[in-house]
Parts: sequence; structure tokens; C-alpha cells
Amino acid sequence: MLARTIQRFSAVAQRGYAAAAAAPVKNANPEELRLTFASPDTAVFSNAVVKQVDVPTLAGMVGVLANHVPTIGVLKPGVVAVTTNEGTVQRLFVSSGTLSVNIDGSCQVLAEEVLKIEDIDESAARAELESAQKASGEGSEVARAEAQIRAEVAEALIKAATNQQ
Amino acid sequence: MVAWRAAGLNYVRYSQIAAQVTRLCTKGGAAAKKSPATLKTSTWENGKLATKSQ
Repeated sequence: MLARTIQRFSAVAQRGYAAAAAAPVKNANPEELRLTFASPDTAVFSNAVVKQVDVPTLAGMVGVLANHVPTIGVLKPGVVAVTTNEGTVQRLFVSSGTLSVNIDGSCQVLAEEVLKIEDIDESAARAELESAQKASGEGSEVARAEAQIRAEVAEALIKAATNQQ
Repeated sequence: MVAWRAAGLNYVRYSQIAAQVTRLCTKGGAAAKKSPATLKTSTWENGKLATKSQ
């Protein structure tokens, strides 16, 4: 049991002490979209005003603009696209995490792992997909389900690397 | 219902696997650059510190 707990801890890994939370933005305009997009060790956007955010969630692709209805959701592996006010689009791969859109116009995309598209190792993803597909047909129900998740993530990585989404 | 939920897995486990695979498929050890986590444990008995954190 203890060994399992330790194993779990080491699996999550790579987390240090949290920095103090930033003070809430005062007099924020609820008519604009303020995005916080972060992973446990990096903040890509921190309360930045942007035009649009497209997020892959388990319930489907969610496009968020200013004045969006408050929403919560969980992410699925895929590409988050952020359109800045200047019109440039930044695309980053996320493994999983949460999405929340609040009534004050703030939006949080908190991912467990964020990756630049060009940092995706496509051949490793293909190898992972193959081994996961092999493993998804054997073993216990839990082992098969875990292999299916691995296959799903690898597929999403390949899609992102080859610009299919 | 999705297969992993039917098998009794929750989203935390899903996320853990997804992050693991993502780290595995990262070029040039970008994932390895991150500092490892440290864990300190200490045991307490009857409100007193039994062993110091290690």
C-alpha cells in the first residue's frame, strides 16, 4: 500500500512549492476575455486579454469568446488555440486538465502537461500508439482501459504534430 | 459511458496517464529538464513529533 502510494507520488512528480497567488484584478472589465493558461510549472498566459480560446474537452471542442456563459469542463488531449487581440493564433498541445469560464470574464485553462507543437516527437507517438493498441486487447479490464487511454493520447499527439486539428 | 470510466478509472487517473504519455513523446528531453519533486515525511504520535522529516 505504502509502496503504491509512493509510486503514485513519483508518477505525478515535477511539482515544487507553489508561488503566492496573484492578487485578483480590480475593476476588471467583464466585457473582455481574460485568459489564464498554465501547467504546474509554466504559465503561458496569465490574466491576458485575448479574443478567443478553443479548448478540446471531453464534451467536445469549446470555443470561448468574451461574454461566454459560465462553464466548467475537463480537457482531453488535443490542441488549445488562443487567438490574441492582434489576430495571431497560438497553438499548444495539452494532455489533460480543466477549463473554467467565469461570469467576470476570466477563463482558466489549467493543464497537467503543455507542449509546443514542434516539441512533439511524432515517431515516439507512433511507437506509443502501436504498443498501446497491442496492449488494449489483452489483460484485465483496467489494463485494457489504460491502454486505450494511451492510444487516444498518442493519436491526439500525432494529429497535432501533423496539423490535422 | 466511456470504456475507462466503465472499467472504474476516474479522470485523475486518465489525466495522469495522458500526462505520462505526453512527457514520453516530447522531443529532446524537454520534459526531463524539469526539476524532480521532493517529498518530506514525518510521523507524529500523540501530538508529538516521532521522527523528523527526512
